[in-house]
Amino acid sequence: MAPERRRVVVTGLGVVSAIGVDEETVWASLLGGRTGLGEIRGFDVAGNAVTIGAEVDVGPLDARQKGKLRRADRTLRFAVEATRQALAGAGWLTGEEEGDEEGDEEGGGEAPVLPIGSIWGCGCGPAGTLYESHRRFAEKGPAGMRPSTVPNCMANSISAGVSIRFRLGGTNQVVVSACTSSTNAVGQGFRAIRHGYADAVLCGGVDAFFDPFYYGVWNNLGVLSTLPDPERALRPFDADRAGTLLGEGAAALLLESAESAARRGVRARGEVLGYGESSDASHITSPEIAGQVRAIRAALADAGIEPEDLAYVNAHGTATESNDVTESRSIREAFGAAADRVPVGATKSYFGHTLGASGTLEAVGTLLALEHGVAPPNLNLDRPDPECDVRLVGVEPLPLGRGPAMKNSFGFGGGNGVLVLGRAGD
Amino acid sequence: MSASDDAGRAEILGRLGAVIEESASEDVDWSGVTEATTLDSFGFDSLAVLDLIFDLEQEFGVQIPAETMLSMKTVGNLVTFLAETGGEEKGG
Repeated sequence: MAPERRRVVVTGLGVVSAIGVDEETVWASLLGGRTGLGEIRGFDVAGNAVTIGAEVDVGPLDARQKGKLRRADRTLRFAVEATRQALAGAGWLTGEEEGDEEGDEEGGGEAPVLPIGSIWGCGCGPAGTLYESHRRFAEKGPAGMRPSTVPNCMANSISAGVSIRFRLGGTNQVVVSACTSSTNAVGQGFRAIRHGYADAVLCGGVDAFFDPFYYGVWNNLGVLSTLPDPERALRPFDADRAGTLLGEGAAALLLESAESAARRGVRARGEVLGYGESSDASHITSPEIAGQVRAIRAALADAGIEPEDLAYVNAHGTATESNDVTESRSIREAFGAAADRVPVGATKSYFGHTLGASGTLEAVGTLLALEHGVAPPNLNLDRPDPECDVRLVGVEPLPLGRGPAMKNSFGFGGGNGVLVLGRAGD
Repeated sequence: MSASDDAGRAEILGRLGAVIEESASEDVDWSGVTEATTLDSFGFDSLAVLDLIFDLEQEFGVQIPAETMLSMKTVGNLVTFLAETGGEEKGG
């Protein structure tokens, strides 16, 4: 007997990013070609060769979040806000519940438990808390370590914090696979719903790591762009690209079985049609074509489509020398002649490279592109690299044909995750 | 109660404020706090209470059993406990 395969729709979107903390602002920024990159202001960047990043303006969060949450780790604050947007958009929240849940970690007992899982992708864990805890340890030794250090430093404090605040009673876990983390999270949630293990899963991605330690070590890795102008420094697929730049943020997709969405009478914002994953099994930081192609082909097969059916590819597109050429060759190999036709765009030039959040942030952008029928411009693609032999979206918005989109994530560690996303109603 | 006892309690109250403002998981406005203020009003959950005990032990050089902490209702109860058991300046 063939395994059950249910349709999985997206009923809610949430986004916290340097180009907006609501989907309307994010879409306006994407369509208008406005980057979130700028000089970092959140901490003292002295001593770093590169000083540019995509920082979130927490003003809207400060206005909304109270009490304990206001003082929580930045990753949890971002995750809670992305969750709130996604649950509210999917009709799971009433305004009354919101106020109670956001400030209180133990007081959620009054609200009913919702039949929703919480799977988050995160590359760095609660980075700010980890940094502060290590700093205190270096200063004071064990005497500096408060009892709450243990739960506050857990990577799964993110999915747990979201689950407790919003009373999400399904699975509660964090996937850690660097830049592929949250694409893997969506893939897991998708499979759980498709095969009947869950009716609804909140799939999120978050990373907030602009602290002297994390930013510093990335700086020293040598993959960050040293171009001085924040507007021009991150250039995916451009011959003059000089590396990636980091960003912080969170995004959440509320995945739900089509039956559940219909039963609740909520509108689908899109659909997850397929998912593929693989490991390069070769090198900790160098990407490999064979592994990427396996993940792309697995996603296409899972969705039951051919490359020529795709309307758009949202690339991993980090703007490093290594990624962009490898990814282009992988797309070419997996797509064949269809690579001449399917437009490829990258949106890290807007969000920055948000590591574990990048999969879901860029998936939200991809779903919005499908919904509007337009791909955002490839910022700074002034001189397409001839080594990147795919059809690239240009520096103007590109109207999209009908058909689904592909979202690629290829992480350090060699983990690859690929989603096939569809328009609602197609 | 002598003037020096009052001064001692006021000094402990000031140091207590600094600890609670630091260890509370919510923002605390200590300026309106008196010895009659209840400890519940600071909104410590079970985990934050452990942090508070840890921070008080560090600051005042005392041992505070959890059940003792939980038995205290007001800021005044806590000041009395600290005045009786320690309250010396933190060493080192």
